[in-house]
Parts: sequence; structure tokens; C-alpha cells
Amino acid sequence: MSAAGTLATAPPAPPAAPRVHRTELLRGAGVWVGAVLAVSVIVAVLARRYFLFDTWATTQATLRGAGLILGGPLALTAGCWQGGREGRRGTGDLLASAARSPLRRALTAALPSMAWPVLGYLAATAVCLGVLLPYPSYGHPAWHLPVVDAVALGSLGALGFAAGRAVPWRFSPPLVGVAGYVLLGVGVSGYTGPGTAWLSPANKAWGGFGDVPVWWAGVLCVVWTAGLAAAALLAGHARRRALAVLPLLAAVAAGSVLYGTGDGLLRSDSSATALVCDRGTPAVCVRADHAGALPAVRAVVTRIDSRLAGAPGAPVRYREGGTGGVIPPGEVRFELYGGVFRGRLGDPEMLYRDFVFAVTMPFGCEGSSNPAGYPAEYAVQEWLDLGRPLFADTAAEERHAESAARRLRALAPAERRAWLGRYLVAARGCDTSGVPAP
Amino acid sequence: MTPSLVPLYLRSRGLPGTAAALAVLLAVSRWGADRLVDRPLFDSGAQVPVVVLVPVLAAAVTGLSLHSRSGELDRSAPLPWWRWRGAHLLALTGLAALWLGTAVPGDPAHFGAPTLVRGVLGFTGLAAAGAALFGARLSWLPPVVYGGTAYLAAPRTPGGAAAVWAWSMQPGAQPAAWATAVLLFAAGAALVAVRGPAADGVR
Repeated sequence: MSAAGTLATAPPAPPAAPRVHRTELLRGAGVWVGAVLAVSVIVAVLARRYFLFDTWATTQATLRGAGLILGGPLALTAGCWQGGREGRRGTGDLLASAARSPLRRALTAALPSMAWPVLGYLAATAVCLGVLLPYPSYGHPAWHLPVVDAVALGSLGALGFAAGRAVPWRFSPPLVGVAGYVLLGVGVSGYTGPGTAWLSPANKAWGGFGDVPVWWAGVLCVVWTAGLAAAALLAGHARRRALAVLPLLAAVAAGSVLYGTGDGLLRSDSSATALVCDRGTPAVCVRADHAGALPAVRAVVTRIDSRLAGAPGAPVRYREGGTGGVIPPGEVRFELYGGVFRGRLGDPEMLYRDFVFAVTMPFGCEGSSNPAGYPAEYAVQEWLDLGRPLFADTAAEERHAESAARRLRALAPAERRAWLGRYLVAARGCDTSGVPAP
Repeated sequence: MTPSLVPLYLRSRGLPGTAAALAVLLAVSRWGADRLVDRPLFDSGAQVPVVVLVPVLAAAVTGLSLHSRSGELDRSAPLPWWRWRGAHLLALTGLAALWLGTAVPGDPAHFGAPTLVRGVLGFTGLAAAGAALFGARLSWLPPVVYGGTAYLAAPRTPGGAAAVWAWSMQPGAQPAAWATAVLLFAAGAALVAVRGPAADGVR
């Protein structure tokens, strides 16, 4: 019989049995979890694009925060739901009859819980970084960070699965999810110390101003999260459960380094905090990571400087950062709280208000809380166009403050400059009581 | 309604347990709100996480309470179920709104008791819709996913289109946010009252 004949007469091959991994991946809620995670992370990140993303560090920290705070509890919940599946279906015994080791059976069932959060997060990362590519003006993307976050998400899925297998109860998934939300939120809330915050994979210290984490912080984070997940799976399903001690020890070691070192894992990025100044008068300096915003800051400085009109005591230097230190006389320090977006300030009005307050009641001086009680202060702030609301106990006080502001406006420029000079010098000494309202 | 059915209904839906869970939630949220405010450098604005997120949990508890172990059997009973389910939802929503609204005063002009009540209404609507669509056991999914996303994604400036899509994060009395929350509650409650929770099956 020829070979061709053999082929023609052989019975048709039986259809291949469906691959169990493929079936596990594509059936059930896994696909939806990945899709919901991707969409919610993309929405959460892109909704803030106009006022956050001046550097790659803040961009990636936002991505990480959204991915872990939204995706982490989702991965936990979905994993817990998947882990309780055999209990709900009553298929535990059927599964136990499969000719595979308990660990392989558990890993196969846990596959969608681990894979889909990772895939959803990586998809969201690709979309967000693609859309945000033109925005950040400083730094470069750290490609290992999405991997660290993805490992954390997959580990959370595995932990949820282990919890669902251990306690297959109707309320387990929401409770595990809420607990995860709280525990992960600790890392971004700022309510706890830096050590505890670093234990949360959602820790946002990774994207601080002028700080970069050392490269092995990512390795520690991976060992910490993946070690816990491996320990949970091994302890629940391995034939030799004692093996779980190994990843647990690794995780505890990495976790204790993270906890003990805390913010010591950050290195200050001196090239980001170096000052960049322009050549105008008064001098304007911003940090290198905001260099693109220098013209925008200069515009705000020009606005207040034209109002001060060269009065003696007017600031000669405006410098970003260092608001906590000792400030030399004649210098105004500020932070760009409103963010920077492609060279534009997120909130130029806020910066202007900061300038006005820094000039009229410098840092370290207790400012007045009642503008009507301090007519001179109210008058100078009105002249600087602050638009401060005037609430006084009595109508007479209000009239007094308003008439002071009116008189200051009505003064001749030279007289006004002289009065402003006296006031500014007195304000530097934190005592303006010797300067009567005009 | 036959009077003797009321205790049976309460027991079959585990409503005493649900009320207990709401009471625990109330105590925890009050403790959490006080603790956040007591910390140095935090004022009543620090209560925002509690004020915005506790209604999500209250709604999740309410949604889960719609679960019935004998859904098929219930459907065969000649009862006007929509009234029972409607009363069930209204009672729990009212209880949660009343308790939470009085427990955490917050800062009513920004995030305070009115925010809590609005959140309870809107999120319960989402949970009720979730019960009608995915079954009571998964009913907490829509409020949790939406609440978490809105918490992170809402813009800092209130009003505008955000008053509708991020209604849960609007400070003060934004009419559009209130309208959205009330509409969500009405739609979700009507949906689950008329259709009942979807069959849980064996997912």
C-alpha cells in the first residue's frame, strides 16, 4: 500500500482536545477583568493629563498609582472569585481526579487570575505612554517600572485566588477587595510612615520631585510581592507545603529591607533639582525639570513686578523650591503646585497669588486673617490685584480698608513707590504696624 | 402583603445581618473620620476618603442583601415581588442614608453629610442595577469599580461635565451631581424591583 493510500484511508484524526490553559484563559470572568482594568486605568490616568505630567517620573507614578489602586483590588477580587469557583460549582472532586499534581491543577485554575490583570495593565500602560509621549518635558521613561507593577498585579491575583480557595464564601471576594483597597491605599495616602508606605506596591514615592529610586528597589518590590504570592500558592496546594517557607523567607527579607530603608531607597536627582535661571531682572530661577516653564513663570513675575514698579524692597530673585529653608532677603521662593504642561503653567493664577502673599507676608511671618483689620495690608494686596475677599465685623472697618486701597490707587506713582517700599521692607521684618495705611 | 410573610422575608434575605453590617460600617466610618481629622495637619478635608468611599461599601452591603438562596422558587410564588424588593431597597437605603448622614457630619459645604446621602443614593442605584444584570452576588462590582475610578479620575475643579460623570466627587450641592445620583437610584431600584436579581447560576 502506497503512502498516499494510507493517508486516504486512515480514519480522520479525532479533534484535538481543547488546551486546558487556553480554555481557562478565555472562559470565565478573566477577559472582563482585564478589560475593566485597562479601561479604568486609562480613564483615570488620561483624565489628569493636563495638570500632572511634567516629568516622566510623575507620569509613571500616576500610572502606577492608578494601576495598583484600581487594578489591585480588582485583581484580588477576581482571583478570590476564581478561587471559590470549585466550591460554587461543586467540581472540586472532579478536578481532583485529574492526572496532574495538585499544584499544577491550582496553577492552571489560577492562570486567568494572574494573567489578565497583567495583560490589562500592560495594555493600559502601552496606551497611556503612547498618548502621553509628547507631554513630559523632563526625564525618560523607566521601562522596568511597568514590569514591577505588572508582577505586583499578577501576585495580587494569585493571593486573591489562594484566599478564595481557602475560604470559598459568598462575601470573601468583596471583603478581600476592600481589604486590598485599604492596604494598597496606605501607600498613597501619606497617613503612614515611609517604611509602611514602601510595603504597598502602589507607593507613590517613586515619582517624587527630584528623587529617583535606586534600581534595586524594583527588584525588592518584585521579590516582596511575587514571594508572598508564591508562598500562598505553595502553602495551599503543593505536595510539600514546607516549600512555601522559601519564597516566604525571600519575601520577608525583601519586605524588611523595604520597610527598614523606606525613603532611603530614593536618590536625589541632582540634575533635576539644579536651578535654571534666565537673564532678566528680577532674576527668575526654576528647577531643571521645569526649564520649559521658565518663560511662563517669567510672565507671572513680570505681572507682579510691573505693579511693584521698582519700589525699594521689591524682590530681586524668584526661585523655585527651598521654601522650607532660610530665605535671603529680597528672594521669593515658590513651588509650582499647579504643575507644568508642555511649558505652560497648570495654574498661573495660583502662582501669582503665592507671589503676592510671599511679598506682603513672607514665609515665617504670621499673616493676618482679617483683611479689614489691617487696612495697609489689604490696600497693598488690592494694588497687587489679589482680589482678596473682604469680610469685616463692622461696616466701618470694611469702609476703612476699602478707602485705604482707593487712596493707594490714587497716589502719584512716585509717592506710591515710596509707600510700597516702606511697606515691603517692614513686611520683610514681619512687622508692618509702623506703616500706616495711605 | 400578608403580615406573616414579613419575618420570613427578613430572614430569607438575611436582613438582620445586613443591618448589623451597616451598623458596623457606621461605627468604623465614624472612627475613621475622627481619626483622620485628629491627625496633625489634617482638617475636615481629610475626611474626604471616608465621605466619598463609605457609601460605596454601604451600597455593596445593600446589593448583596438582595441575594436569595431560592430565587427560582421565589419567582413561582404569586406575590407582587416588585413591591417587596422596592420596599427592601428603600428601607435599607433610608437606613444607610440616615445613619451615615448623622454619624459623619464632615463639612456640609464641601464634603459632608449631604455628600454621604447623595453617595448612598447613587451607589445603591448602581448596586441595584448590578444585581439586576449580574446577580446579587456580584452586585457590588459596578459601584466599587465606578467609585474607585471616579475617586482617582475626577478633576479638581468641580462642575461642568464632571458634575455628571464624576458626580460622586463633587463638593457641595451641585444640582447636576444630585440629579445624576437620584436618577441612578431611581433607575437601578426600578430595574431590580421589576426584574429581580439575575440568577446567580454557578459561575
